Amino acid sequence: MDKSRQRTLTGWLRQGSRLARPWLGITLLLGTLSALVIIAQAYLLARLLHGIIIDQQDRHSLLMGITGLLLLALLRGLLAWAKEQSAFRGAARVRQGVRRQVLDALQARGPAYLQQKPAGSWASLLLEQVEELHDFYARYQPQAMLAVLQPLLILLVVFPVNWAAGLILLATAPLIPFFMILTGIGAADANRRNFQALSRLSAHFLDRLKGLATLRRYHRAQAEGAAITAASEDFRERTMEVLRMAFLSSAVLEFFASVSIAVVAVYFGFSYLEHLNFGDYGRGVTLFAGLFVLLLAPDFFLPLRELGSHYHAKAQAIGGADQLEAFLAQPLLQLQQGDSPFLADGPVSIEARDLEVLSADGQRLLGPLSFSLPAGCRTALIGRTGAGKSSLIQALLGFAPYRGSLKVNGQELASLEMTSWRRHLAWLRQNPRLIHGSLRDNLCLGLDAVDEAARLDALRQAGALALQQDKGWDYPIGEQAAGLSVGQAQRLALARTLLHSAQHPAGLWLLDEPTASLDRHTEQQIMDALAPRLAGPTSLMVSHRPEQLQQAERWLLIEAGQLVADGSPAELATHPAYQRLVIHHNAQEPRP
Amino acid sequence: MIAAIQALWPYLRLYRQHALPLLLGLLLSLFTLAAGIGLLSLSGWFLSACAVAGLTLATRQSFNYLFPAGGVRFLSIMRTAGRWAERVVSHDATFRLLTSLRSRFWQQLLPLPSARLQGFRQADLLNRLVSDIDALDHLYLRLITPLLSALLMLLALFGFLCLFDPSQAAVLTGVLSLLVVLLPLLFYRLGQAPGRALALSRASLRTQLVDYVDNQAELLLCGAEPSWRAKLEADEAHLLTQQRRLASLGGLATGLFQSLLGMVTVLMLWLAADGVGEAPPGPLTALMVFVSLAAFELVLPLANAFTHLSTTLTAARRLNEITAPGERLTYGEHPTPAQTGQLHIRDLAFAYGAAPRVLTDLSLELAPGQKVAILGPTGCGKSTLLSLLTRELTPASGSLTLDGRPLADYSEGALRASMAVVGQRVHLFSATLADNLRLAKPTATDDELLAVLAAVELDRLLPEADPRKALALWLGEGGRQLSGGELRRLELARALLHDAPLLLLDEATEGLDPATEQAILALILRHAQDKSLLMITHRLTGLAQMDSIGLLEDGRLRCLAPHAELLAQDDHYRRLHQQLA
Repeated sequence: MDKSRQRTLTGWLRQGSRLARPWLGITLLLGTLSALVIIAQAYLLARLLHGIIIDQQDRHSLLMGITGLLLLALLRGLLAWAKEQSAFRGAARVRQGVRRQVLDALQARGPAYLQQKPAGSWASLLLEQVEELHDFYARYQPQAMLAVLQPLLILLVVFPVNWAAGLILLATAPLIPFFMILTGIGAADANRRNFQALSRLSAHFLDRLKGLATLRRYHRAQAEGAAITAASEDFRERTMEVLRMAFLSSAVLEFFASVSIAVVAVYFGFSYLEHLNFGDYGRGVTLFAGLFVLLLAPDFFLPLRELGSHYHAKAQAIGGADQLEAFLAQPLLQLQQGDSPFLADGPVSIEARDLEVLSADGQRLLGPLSFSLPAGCRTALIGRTGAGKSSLIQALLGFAPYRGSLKVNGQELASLEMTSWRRHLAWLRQNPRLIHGSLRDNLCLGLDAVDEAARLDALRQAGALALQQDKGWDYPIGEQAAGLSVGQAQRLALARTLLHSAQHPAGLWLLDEPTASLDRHTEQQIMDALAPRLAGPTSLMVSHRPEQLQQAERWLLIEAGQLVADGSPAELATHPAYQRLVIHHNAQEPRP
Repeated sequence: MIAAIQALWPYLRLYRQHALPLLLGLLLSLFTLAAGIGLLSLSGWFLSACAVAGLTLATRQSFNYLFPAGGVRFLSIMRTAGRWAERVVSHDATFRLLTSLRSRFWQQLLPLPSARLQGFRQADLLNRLVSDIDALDHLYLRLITPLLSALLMLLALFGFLCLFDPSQAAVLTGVLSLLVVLLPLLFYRLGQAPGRALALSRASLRTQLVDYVDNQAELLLCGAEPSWRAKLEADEAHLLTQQRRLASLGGLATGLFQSLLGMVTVLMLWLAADGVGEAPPGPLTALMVFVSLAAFELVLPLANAFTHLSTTLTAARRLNEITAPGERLTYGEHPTPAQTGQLHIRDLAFAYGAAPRVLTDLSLELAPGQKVAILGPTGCGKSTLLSLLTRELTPASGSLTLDGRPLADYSEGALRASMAVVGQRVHLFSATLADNLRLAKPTATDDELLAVLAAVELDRLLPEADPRKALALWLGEGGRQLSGGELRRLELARALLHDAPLLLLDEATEGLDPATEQAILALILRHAQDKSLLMITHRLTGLAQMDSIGLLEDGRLRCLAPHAELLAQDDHYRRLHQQLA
């Protein structure tokens, strides 16, 4: 990933943190409080030690201070707990927000766009990539601010006690921002390189695992095992060379942290022995002052050192943000939708004028074409695979954007409120999708409280009654309709469509090769079940089967996205475009 | 606990292989810790001793400050150097460990039948497998090393503090040891239930997301989209609740550690305020307090050890599940590959587990140089037949012979050299073009590779002007991707290099457009002239060029005849050909 892309993504991540409000603020507040508790602990402890060692006080006379110290210890633990929780909540909000944005974007782009990638890859965008953002907001970001705040607070209390000690701390950390840059270059670089090295190694291993079957076929699996080891050893050596240098620069921070403790100790020691005499505002150095500063010195650097260990959280978040940002920033066409309800009942008439159906990235999939289908017309769409037949169906379903005009019952499709329009549609496609759930859930999708008689009736008409009788209503259906054969899945989908059209009679049936993956017997069943349904309403069917095409009243012949002929089957049977199709009858799936 | 150790045992044993770097890392970490603790404690003591000495003129002048002041500077430099060296050594050890974890796992995967691996086909499962292996290095670096170095350091501290006051030494190191051992275990226990709940709710959210995306069209059409979206958000909220529980537990662990350490310091202050050993309250009091403060650095890395413990345990269990004892692929002894590619299949039967038989009694004879296609719809058992031929599966009954010798007699090397498979799923390794080809023939020279590329007409598809440069072209992830047609050509090039007498085509032209399909088939047939060829397909392209075609139905071959004969005699076959494109 190049530097400018990284900057873009870091900017995107920063912007996301506004979703974390108010929790980010609360986390910072808790962090500040906890810094104050640390200071108070150092103060009390130094006072008590001063009392015991110099003033020779008895421990029983110091009970107040000791109790205070115990309470502070408790408070520090509580603050750490609370901080962790508020940091979590903030980051969880960001994740929720980003996930919602992605879901909204997916929704706006519609099913036709979603089909371009397997569902699993969308799910991992929504789940894994979003989860990767968490630690950036929960850990890195608050820590980056605390790494500035805590040292500042410590300086603020050390200077009034002893300016020389304050200067020592300040000098070992000349300027916190400078320090941040220094560790930024060192620790971040080391972390990034380490992270990259590890993920490249994982990718290499993953690639070989994916190809295991291929390797086996050529009897190379054993040899590849040795190659994996060699590659990973080679990688280790090269990465270690870089890391050795990178760690050196981050060791500078460690060095300053140690040296500041040593210098503070030596400065105070020599002051007590009166070898040194400055820094105390002329009040004389006390043991209290020395211990107070010494106790705080490690905590001066601790947040910065911890920040170094959170750099991988940033690298991880940038990795996740890469795909998320790219997806969200893509300028894509959104589905058109208006707010006028679709009112008419009964068969739907369709009129297309210079209609062009587009893909989400604006490419023309079909058209421009014009035709008009009267209400109740049974139409077949005919053409080769990829000619654009399905695009027309997608546009009518409201799943694909279009230019030109597409009117249904005289209303422009894009101006319709889609829910009311889709209620008048019945749709069946080649490979229907089923949800994870029971047979009942799948049948009654989107309907509540359908009585059993209606359900059974729908199944019976679709020829799927046996399925319910064998397996019962609660039969679980898994991913990609696992547990059902292709034919059973299609019959179940048909039953669902029938059940829906029994509730709201459909004025337009859209059939997109509903029998293409079925054997002859099931195909016949499905077509028989459909026949009475197609008598009244308008219907549009895509098919390659001559006998199904013969049942249509009207043919639309499509070639390469253009309407080449429009007429009755009798008129078009001799049309050259149809003849070309009949001749080109290879490459088809057989049915036993 | 015993179960946990059992699960981790194979990986703990691996520790020995890397004993040297790991031990070195441990030593350096001890060294760094000692320097850090020494620095802070010595400083605290030095300050107090100077302050006490500074009270009177006599002690002020006799106090030897050179030695402690030098010690402080020395320790601070040692700590820096130690930390650097420790990081270098431990990162190096991580890489070494990962290498051996991966190679060990790879060796274990090799003899597994592909049915066992089937579940891992999907990319996300493979991803999980890889990250599980990665998680195992936490076992050493986040658990064992910090725990061991903490315990050893406490032991050393005990010895050192005994010089001053054995009873206070025992209290401090005793309490800290208890903390170090007990708290991680306690939190591991507490985290188990929410950890499991989290895994479940994550899986359920994934399912919902996949369903939502996959079924979006159906959901929109059924008007179920809004309610589904609401369900998704409820599921997400549930996931967040589980995560919050775990995060809160982590916070509690950190907080508890900090509180308890603070209290330990107070305890030491109380004990040492009454004098340390024989000495009255004085600089040694400060030493005790500072030692307990410095111990913070020693204990804190273990505050969240419990989360690492559960991730490594889960990872180890999942990996153990894959490598658990069970069926392994076995091969015979016969060392020489088949020469003619004569294949006899007699009464072959196979069933997956208890399911009905996929193949009932399939018989087929393939003479040397003969070309046969087996045609049938998806799910009729064609792929099973292929897996039986490549010995990924073992038949329930019936015989399979190649060149008259049972398939099971061939050694793995001989078997692989006897047949080449061109399938629909071509894996393009992320490597150079030459490496992608050489896996089929490791000894191939550059000229051979170029000749084969020319034969499959891939040479003109490659952009480089200098053909030798084209061989160095990086393919796959992070390189040039190939189109479907190019992939098949590459696979064919591999098969040609492999040069086996029997060529198996498994839906080799699936997913190609008709023109490319024709071209690829023609290419295959041109190069397979003197080879036996078995083509498994559900498409009709190229059938006319086959010597005969078998229709696979109900687990057996219904008929076996040339294209023209079938077209004339078989209604079903004729019907297949009467469809529109």
